[in-house]
Amino acid sequence: MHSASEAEVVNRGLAQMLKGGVIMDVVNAEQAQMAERAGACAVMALERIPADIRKFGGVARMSQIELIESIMRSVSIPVMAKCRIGHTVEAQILESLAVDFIDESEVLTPADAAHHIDKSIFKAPFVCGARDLGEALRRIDEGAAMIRTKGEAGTGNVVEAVRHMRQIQSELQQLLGAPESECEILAQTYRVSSVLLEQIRSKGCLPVVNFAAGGVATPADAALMMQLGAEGVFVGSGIFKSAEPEKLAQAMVHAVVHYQDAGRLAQISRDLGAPMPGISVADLPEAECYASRGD
Amino acid sequence: MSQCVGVLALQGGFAEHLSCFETESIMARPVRHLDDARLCQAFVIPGGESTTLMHLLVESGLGDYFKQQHQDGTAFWGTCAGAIVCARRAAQPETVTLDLIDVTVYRNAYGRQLNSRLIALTSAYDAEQDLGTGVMIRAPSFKRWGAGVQPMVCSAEGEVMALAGDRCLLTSFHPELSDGAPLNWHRWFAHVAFEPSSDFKEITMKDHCV
Repeated sequence: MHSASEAEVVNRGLAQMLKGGVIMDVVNAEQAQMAERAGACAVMALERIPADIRKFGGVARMSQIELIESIMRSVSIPVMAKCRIGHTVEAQILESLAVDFIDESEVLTPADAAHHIDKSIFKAPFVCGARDLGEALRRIDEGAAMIRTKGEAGTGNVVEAVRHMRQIQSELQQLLGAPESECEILAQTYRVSSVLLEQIRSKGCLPVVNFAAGGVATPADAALMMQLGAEGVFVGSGIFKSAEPEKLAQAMVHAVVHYQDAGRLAQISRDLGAPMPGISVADLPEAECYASRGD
Repeated sequence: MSQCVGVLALQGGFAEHLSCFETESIMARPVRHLDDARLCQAFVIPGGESTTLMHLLVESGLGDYFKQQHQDGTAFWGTCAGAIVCARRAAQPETVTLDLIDVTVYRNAYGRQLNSRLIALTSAYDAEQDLGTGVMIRAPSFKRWGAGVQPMVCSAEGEVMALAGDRCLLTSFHPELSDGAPLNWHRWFAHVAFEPSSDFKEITMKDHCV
């Protein structure tokens, strides 16, 4: 039987304590404090929110150290920060800053076209994006303590997050229902150890928490993702690209708690002003689809 | 009427507590609204983010309800962030709490996530009595407590990890994340909560150790 290391227990455990919460992208200390006041369970410290990364173009890298540090000083909730896919040194730097969670993120420009970071050698926890069960399992095998859907960040369009969550859930059900004899083949298909598949089959669920991310723009979007099985929600561009960020931030927090209560959701969705203007994912050129980065 | 533990289910690790109670065949239900709370005779405030939990407790009206219930003698158990919520005072930084028990807690007392760890626990009454491993996640620490509050569990270094008094049990670690611990926390809590003559004392704790 697999015996969990100390880092695995406390890192997966931190993700468990974030469940039922909203993690908000913030680009400065004021936004971080506003997110904390609104009830966010963590913040993601970023130089630019994904919608602006799209607009700005160029190579998107780990944020400035000073910015991350000023956000870490400004709030008492956990602070996450992003590094590029495969950029082990950006991750080492974030760990040395004592960031609470590292997001190896497709929203930044990938640094390695073939490999993800070997997260198992880090003490800091990692969250990674996934479009399907195979990606989720490979990231967990590499040491991720938390999974999120990739969705399509910075679009304000929830369609990809829904696709990815449904995909992960349906493939998970298949795995749980598959006969023992097929497990070896499934492990090969997913390119993961059969030990991991055995753990999941005996536990009946993923061994780490799975959040929704990428295009969640309204309280209704957040509640939809929860109804589809997300354990919490990342909100990136949606909040600070809306007309009333503070109100919307609070509404998101309440929508994730009361995701099964349509009456409450109607109340929560009142008087929020204009949401972020969205963009159609189908119109994005291939190179601008972040979800296809990393596999 | 059968007795039921209410696990606050607004944010955090509530599912883990519910599953621990289920394993022990103790009736428990998630609490999101006052209507849920009214069906319960004891409450667990789980780990999560204490600022998020307080925000949602105030907004839902559950915070005031819990304070009233506690004054009427209902038992409470707070784990990690839940312990911060139950304490009289939370410092570092100062935050609003429910003030159910005369304890001052320091938030994130051990630092950030990199300092989260597993620690060996022993009885505060008997350092020889092994109580298993405690999972500490951005844990708070107990700094000061009133005369009616008794340390129950310590680390090897003698730091207090769990204390009780005023019908309230606080643990700075997460018993719901370690299975097979020598002390069955969920059974102990339910026993004290539903046995009017009983309280969080060494004797009742020992009764629930293997």
